[in-house]
Amino acid sequence: MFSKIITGAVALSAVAMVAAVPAQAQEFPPKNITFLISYGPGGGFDTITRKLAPYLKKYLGGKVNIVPKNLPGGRGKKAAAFLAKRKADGSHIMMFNMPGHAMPNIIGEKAGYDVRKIDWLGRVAQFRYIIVVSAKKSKYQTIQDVLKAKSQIKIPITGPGTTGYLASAILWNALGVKPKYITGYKSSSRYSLGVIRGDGDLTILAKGSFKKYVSSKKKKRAAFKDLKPILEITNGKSEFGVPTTGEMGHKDLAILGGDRIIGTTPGTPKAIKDRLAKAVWDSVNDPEFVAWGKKVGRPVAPLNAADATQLVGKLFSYYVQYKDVLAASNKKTR
Amino acid sequence: MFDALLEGIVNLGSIHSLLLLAAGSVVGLLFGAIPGLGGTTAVALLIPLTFGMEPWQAIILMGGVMAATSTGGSVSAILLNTPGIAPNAATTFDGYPLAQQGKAGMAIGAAATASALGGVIGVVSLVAVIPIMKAIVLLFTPPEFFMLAIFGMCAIAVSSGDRLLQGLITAIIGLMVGFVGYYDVTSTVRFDFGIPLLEDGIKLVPALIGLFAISEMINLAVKGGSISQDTSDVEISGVSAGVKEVFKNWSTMLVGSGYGTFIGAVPGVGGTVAAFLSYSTQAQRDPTPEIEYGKGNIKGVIAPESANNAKDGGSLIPTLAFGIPGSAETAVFLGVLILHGIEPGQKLLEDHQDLVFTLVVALTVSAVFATLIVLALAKYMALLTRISVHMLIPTVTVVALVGAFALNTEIGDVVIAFIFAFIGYFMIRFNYPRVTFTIAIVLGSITELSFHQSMLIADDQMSIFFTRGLSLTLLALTILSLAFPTFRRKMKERKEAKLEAEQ
Repeated sequence: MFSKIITGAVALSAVAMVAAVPAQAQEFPPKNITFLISYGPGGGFDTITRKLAPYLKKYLGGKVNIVPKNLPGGRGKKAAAFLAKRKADGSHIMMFNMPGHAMPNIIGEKAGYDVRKIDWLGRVAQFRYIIVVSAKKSKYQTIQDVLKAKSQIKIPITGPGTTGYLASAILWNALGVKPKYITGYKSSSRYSLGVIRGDGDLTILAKGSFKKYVSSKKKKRAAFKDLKPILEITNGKSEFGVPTTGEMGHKDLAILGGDRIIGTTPGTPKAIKDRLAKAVWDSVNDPEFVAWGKKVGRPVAPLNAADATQLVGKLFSYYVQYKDVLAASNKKTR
Repeated sequence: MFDALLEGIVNLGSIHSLLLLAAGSVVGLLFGAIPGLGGTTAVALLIPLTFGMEPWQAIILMGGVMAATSTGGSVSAILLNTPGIAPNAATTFDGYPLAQQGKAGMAIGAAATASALGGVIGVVSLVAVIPIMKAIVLLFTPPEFFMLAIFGMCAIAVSSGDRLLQGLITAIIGLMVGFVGYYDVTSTVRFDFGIPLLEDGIKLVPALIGLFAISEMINLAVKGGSISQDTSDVEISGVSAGVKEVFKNWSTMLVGSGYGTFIGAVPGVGGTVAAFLSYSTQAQRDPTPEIEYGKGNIKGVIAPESANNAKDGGSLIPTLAFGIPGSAETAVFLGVLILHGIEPGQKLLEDHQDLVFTLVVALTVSAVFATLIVLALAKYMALLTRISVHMLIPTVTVVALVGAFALNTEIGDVVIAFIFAFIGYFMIRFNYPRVTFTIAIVLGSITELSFHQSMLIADDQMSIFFTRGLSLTLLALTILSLAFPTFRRKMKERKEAKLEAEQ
C-alpha cells in the first residue's frame, strides 16, 4: 500500500514537473525586462526603443514593465557587452545597430560580445542611403558632375569605422571616385549641416534623416532649399527622381545601409526566446506602431527571428570583405 | 506668427498647464542642483509620463525642466563649489568665494536673477531671429569654431591673475586630460592605456565633481570649521542685494545673455563654453575691478549665469531651422516630439507653429518661476554654508559621489571623481588655479577638432583662418581682449603718475 502511495506520488510529481516546463515558459516574463539603449538619450535609437517598449509590454501579457535604459559608451560596445554577459533568461534585450555593432568583431577588436552568437529576436527597422549636395553652395549638382569632376571631392562625415563612412568608402570605391574625407563630425545632423554651409561638397545620408530638410508644403517640396539628393542607393525606383546605383549597374551596393535588430543574451532557452521573438514581431506589426513610424519618417521593416539571424550572417560576410580597410582606419594610436 | 504665440499663451493658461510647468520647474531645479544628474537625465526620465499627454502638454512639462536646470545648478556651484551641471562651472569661480565670505545669499540672489533675465532674453532673441535663423546657424564653420575656442582660451590668462606660470601649467595638464579617449577625426582611441573606462575620454561631470566638490571637502576636513569663514553676526540673507546687483550691472547681464543666445545657436559648442566666454569677457572688460575676479566679484556670477540660461533659447535656433539639436537637452526634447508623432525639422515651424510657441512661452515662464523659487528659498539654502564640517563633509561627499555614479551608472566615474578630488586638493594646497585647468578641458577638444577640420577643408592652408570675415573678426577680438587690460592699466598708471606730478 505504502509503496503504491510512493509510486503514485513519484508519478504525480513527474507529471507535475513535465507540466511545469511549458507552464514556466508561459509565465515568462517573471520580472521586468531591461531594454538596453547603447547610446545616450535623444537620437534615433533612444526614441525608437522608448516608443517600442510599451508595445512589447502589451504583447508580453502586460504584467511586467519593459524598462528602457541608456548605457552609452565605447560607441555602442559597452551596452552590447553588458547584454552578452547577463544571465541568459531573457531579462535583457537590446536593439543593435547593424553593421555598426558588428565592426569590432569584423576587425577582431576586443568587444566583449560577438554578434554571431547573439540570440536574434527580429528586425524593427532599416534605412537606406542617398547622396546629397548643398542645394546652393555645391559645385556639383548631379551625380554626373561628380563623376566628371577634375578636382578632388570633399566629403564631411563622422569618422573612419563608422557605418556612414564605411558605406561612403565602399560606394565611391565602386564608382571610381577618390574623395577626401573631412572627418570629426559627431553625427549625421552635424555633417549634413557641414555640407549646407560648404565645409565640403557632398555626403551620404539616411533617407529618413534627409526628410527633415524637406518642406511639407507641396510647392516647396520640389525645390530642395538646403540639401539636394543626387543619387539613391537602391535597386528599386528612386523616391526622389534621381539616378540610382542599381541603374548605374552596381546592384551589389543595395546592401549598404543600416538595420535595427533586437537581440538578447546568447544561450537564452528556446521557449523564452520564442516568446520574446513573437512579442517583437507583434509589436513591430502593431497598426499603431506602424502608423507612428510612417508619420515620423521612420517606417518599420519587420523581419522575424530566423530571417533576422540570417540577415546578420549575410551582413557579416559582406562587410568582412572590407576587413583590411576597416582595420587600418581603426588602428589605435597611443 | 502672432496667432501661434497667442495659442502658446492660451495653452499655458489653464491651472492644469501651470501645474505641469511648475512640476517641470521643480524637477529641473532639483536635477540641476544635484551634481551629475542634469537636465538631460530629467527630460529622459519624464518621457514615460508624457505618453498619455497631448503633445503641447508634454512640451510644457519639458520646457519647465529645460529652463530650470541651470538655475538649480548655480545654487550648488555657489554653496558647495560644485557645478550642478557643466555650464555652471564658471559660476564657481566667484560664487564660492562669495559663499566663503558669508555672502552666499547675495550670490544666489544675483545668480537666480541673472538666470531669469538671461532666460527671457534668450527666448525673446529666438523669436526675434526666426526670419534669419538659418543664416546665423550657417555663420560658424570650423575656422570660426577654432577662433572662438582660442578667444575662450584667453580666459586662462585672465583667470590666472598673478599666478600665470601655475595657470599655464594646470592649463597644459587640462589639455592633456582633454586628449584622452576617442577622437572623432581619426576614429582612434588615444591615451586610454587599454582601460575601457578611458575609451570615451574623461567625462567632464565626474571630473568637475572631484576637482571642485570633493577636493573642497578634503580641504575643509583638514581645516575644520564651515564653508563660510564669517560665521559671526553678519546677516546671512543679502538676497535682495544680489538681485539689485544684477540691475546695477545690467551691461554684464546683457553681454552674457548675448553670448548665451549666440553660442547656443551654434550646434556643438554649448552652454559651458558660453558661460566661460561670458566670464572671461567680463573679466577683460573690467581690468581694474574693486574686487579681483576669482575672489568673490559678483559680476563673475552674473556673467556666466545669464549666458548659460540664455543658451536655452539660442539652442532652439538650429532645432527650428534645420531640426538639429543645439544642446543635449534639445536632443532629448526632439526625441519627445518624435515619440508624439511630430517630425522635427523644417516641418516643425511650418506645421506646428503653435507647439513651437507653446515651448517658447513655457521656457520664459519657467525661467522666471524657477528663479522665484530659488529667491524664496535662498535665505535657507545659504545656511548650508554655516553647517559644521562634521555634518557637511559626509553629506556632500555622498551626494557628489552618487551624482558621479548616476550619470552613467558607471563605478569607474566614481574612481575618476576620487582621482580628480586629490588633484584638486593638491591644487588648493599649493595654490595652483583650478579654473584654468577646467577651461582647458572644456575648450581643448573643440580647439583641436576645429583646427584639424579646418586643415582638412583648406588642404593644410593656414590662410583659411585669415580670409574669412567672422574668423578674422574673432581673431581681432582675441588680440584686443588680450591687449586691452594692459592698455587700460597703463593708461591708469600714466594718469595717476600725471596726477602725482601735478600735486
